[in-house]
Amino acid sequence: MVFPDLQTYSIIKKLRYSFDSFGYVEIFLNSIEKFNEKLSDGIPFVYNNEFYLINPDITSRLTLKNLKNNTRIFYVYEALNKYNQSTLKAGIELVNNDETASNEEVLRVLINSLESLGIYDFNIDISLSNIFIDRIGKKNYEMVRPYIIDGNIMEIQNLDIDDAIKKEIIDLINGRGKETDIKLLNDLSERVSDPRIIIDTGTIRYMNYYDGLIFEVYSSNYFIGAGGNYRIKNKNACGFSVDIESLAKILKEDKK
Amino acid sequence: MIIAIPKGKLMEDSINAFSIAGLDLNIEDNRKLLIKDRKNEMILSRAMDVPLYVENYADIGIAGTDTIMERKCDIMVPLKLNFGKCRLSICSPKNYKLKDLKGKRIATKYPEITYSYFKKHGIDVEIVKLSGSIELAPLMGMSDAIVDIIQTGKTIRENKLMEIKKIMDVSASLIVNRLSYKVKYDEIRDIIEKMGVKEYEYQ
Repeated sequence: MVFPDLQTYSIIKKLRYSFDSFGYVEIFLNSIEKFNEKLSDGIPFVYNNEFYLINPDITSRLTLKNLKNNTRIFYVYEALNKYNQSTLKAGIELVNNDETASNEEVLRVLINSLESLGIYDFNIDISLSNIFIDRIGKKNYEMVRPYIIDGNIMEIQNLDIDDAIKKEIIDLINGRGKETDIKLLNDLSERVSDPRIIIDTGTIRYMNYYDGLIFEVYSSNYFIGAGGNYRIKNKNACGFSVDIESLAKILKEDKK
Repeated sequence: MIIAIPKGKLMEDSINAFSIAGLDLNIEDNRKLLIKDRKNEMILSRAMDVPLYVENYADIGIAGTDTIMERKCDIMVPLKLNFGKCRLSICSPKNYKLKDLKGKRIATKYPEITYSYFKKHGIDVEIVKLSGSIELAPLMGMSDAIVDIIQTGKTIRENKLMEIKKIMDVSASLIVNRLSYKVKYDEIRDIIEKMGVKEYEYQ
C-alpha cells in the first residue's frame, strides 16, 4: 500500500461528506469492548481475569446502547476479518420507528454515497431476514438452513419433507429478480425506484440481529457491503456498512 | 468463467464433470498453473487450496468436502458429486474408545475438523499438524492416534493402525463463489443443473 494512501483518504473524505449531507453525525467507538454475548465478531482476549473483544461488529454494539428515535450516525472503523487482517469500513445507522421510511432512506444514502465516489455500476439485492422461517416454519428451517446457505437444491429435493415445502424453499432460493408477493420488498423497490435494486429472496445474512429488510451491494467483481433492519431496545433501526478496500479496487479498475 | 481445478486424485474426474456441464477445459500441460483459453481461465491448484481460490478469485471449482470443512471459506456448495468418495476417520495402533483419547496427541492435516470434532464430544486432545504421511506419526511415537482420509483401508492396515471412529463421509463437491453466483447466476445454475442431472444418472 502507498503511504500515505491518497485514494483511501479521498474515498473516506467523500463518504464522510455524503453521510454528513444527509444529516448523519460521526461517532467514535472504542476499539476494545468488554465481552457481552450479544456482541458479534471481534477478537477475544483475557486481561486481569476479565473477557474483552477487539473491534466487535459495530451494529451489534449499537443494539446495546440507548439511542433516541431519529438518531442518525455514521462511522469509519477498522474491522478485523477472520484472518485477523484489518479492513476499513464505513457505514451509517438510522434509528427511526417508521420502518418503511428508514429502509428507503438508508438505501438512498447508500446509492447516493456510491455515486458520489463515481461508482454507478452496482446492484443491491434485497430480501427479508426471516423469509424462510415465515414460509416454512422454524423447525423445517433449522433442518434445511445449511442447504439454503450452500444453495444445494439437490439435497433439498432429497429431504424427507413435504413436497409443497420443498417447492417453497427452492422457489425462494431461485427467486432472484422474479416477481414476488412480499409487500415490504415490492413497496421498497417501488419507492426507491432504482433499476439496480433487485429482489433476491435467496439472499442470506449471517448476523442474527437482523429483523426485516436485509440487503447486499456489489459490483460485477466485488462485494461492496451489506446491511439491514434491526432493533435497538424496541426501537426500529436500519443501516449498512461498505468496505473501503473494495471501493478502492473498483475505482482503480474503472480508471484502467 | 474462472474455474479452480484440484491437482492430484480429483483432477481427471473434475475435468470430466465440467465437460459434462458443457465446459471443455483444454488442459494439455498440467505443469502450467494458470491456463487461459478464449472462454475460460483455469487455475490448477493444490486440492486443499481450491476453496480459498473460489472464495477470493475463481467463479467455480471442485473440492472435497473434507477440505471445504477444514478451510471454513465463505463459499456455496450447491452440489455433491459422485466421485472422490472416502471417509475421514480417527485411527490408532490401539483399540481405543473415543473417550480414551482424552489428553492424547492426535496427528492430522485437518486441525480445524479435528479440533471441532473433539470439542463437540467434550474431549481435550493435543493436535499435531502434519502435511502428509500422517500414518507415520504413531509409528514414530509422535502421536497416539491420527485423523486422516481412508479410501480402502489398505494404507491404514499396512501401517498397523485400526479405524476407531468415522468423523465424516467425504466426496467431491462443486463449489461456487458467492458473488459469482449472483452476477453469473444463469450460467452457474446451468452448470449445476447439467452436472447434477449426470450425477443422478450415475447413481
